[in-house]
Amino acid sequence: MDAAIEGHLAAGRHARAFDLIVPEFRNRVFRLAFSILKDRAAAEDAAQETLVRVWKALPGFDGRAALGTWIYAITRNTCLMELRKRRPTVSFDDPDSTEAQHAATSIATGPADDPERDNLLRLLEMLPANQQQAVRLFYLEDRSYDAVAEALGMPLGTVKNLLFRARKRLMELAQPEEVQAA
Amino acid sequence: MNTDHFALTLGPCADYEFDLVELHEGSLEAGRAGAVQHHMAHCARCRAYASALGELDAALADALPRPALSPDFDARLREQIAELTQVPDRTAALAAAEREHAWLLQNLGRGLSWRTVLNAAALGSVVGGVIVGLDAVAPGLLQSFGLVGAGMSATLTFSIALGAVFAVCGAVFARGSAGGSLLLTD
Repeated sequence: MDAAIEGHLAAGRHARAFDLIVPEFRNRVFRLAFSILKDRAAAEDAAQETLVRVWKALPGFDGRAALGTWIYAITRNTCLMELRKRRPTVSFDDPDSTEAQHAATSIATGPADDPERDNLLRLLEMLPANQQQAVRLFYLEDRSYDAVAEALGMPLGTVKNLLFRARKRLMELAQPEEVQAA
Repeated sequence: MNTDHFALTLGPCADYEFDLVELHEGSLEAGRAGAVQHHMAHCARCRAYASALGELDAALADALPRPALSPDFDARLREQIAELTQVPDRTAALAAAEREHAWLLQNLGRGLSWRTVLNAAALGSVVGGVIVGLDAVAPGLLQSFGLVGAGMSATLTFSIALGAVFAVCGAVFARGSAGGSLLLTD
């Protein structure tokens, strides 16, 4: 945790701490939200809601967990609630669930003007939701495994394994059908 | 992709699969990296896998959107926080409105307490009793002082006295000095 933020929190100066937290975490919170929600406007709303929750809960933050871990957990919960609002049957406890995957594929991914790009994004949508999220976040975080692990609240090895399986599957899916059948 | 798809179909050698990823990412220890590169020079399957890995990495980095926050993100957040911090002011405004409401109720005469009413009744009874008593003992005394008109009975005199006391008490307490048992509650 940044020393200045830590100092303000220890002294009970929560408003000042929050003033430093926002520039430090807003983009990271937004990228995590985008990797989950896959929609820019929804991710921005979730980032706003997350930071408002952080502001409300900051006086109760006891420092047992790292500040980033705590903020990312609030972000994931906020996004989970947003997903549940969209599809009441989505279960984030089981990211591989059929419902979660259907919900994920129903969300727009961006402009459709490049066939190769669109095809790759379509293949990505075929992966389990947790692998998709790891892949998206990995590239949003400039290929940092550590950043992805911290944001997702997972051990580094788990993140590496998720990405390894995701890329392997994508390479299989990207092969021409005749080669796949061979 | 320009990868050798047939070699890729066979997959990389199991012993090198993770190493190829780390080699691509530049995180493989130098000694091991040399060994993997030496192996790749003789293994079409691992070369194909490494090539496909590089192409996929570049394609994903290019394809995945990297959105940015709106320029007004901070301003909107500050507005939300400001609304939350104004709650105490709203409470104060509500309390002031309740006090105003209570004042209006009192000035409409609804602020009289039971204690006030009983005090007025007791005072009226005492005054009335004195008048009736004087009228019985000395019927002409009150008339001689000009307090009661000629031919008025003691009951009528009592009623007039009681009414006068109530009117005075009501006027005094309706100005806002009464007990307040009928005021708004929290």
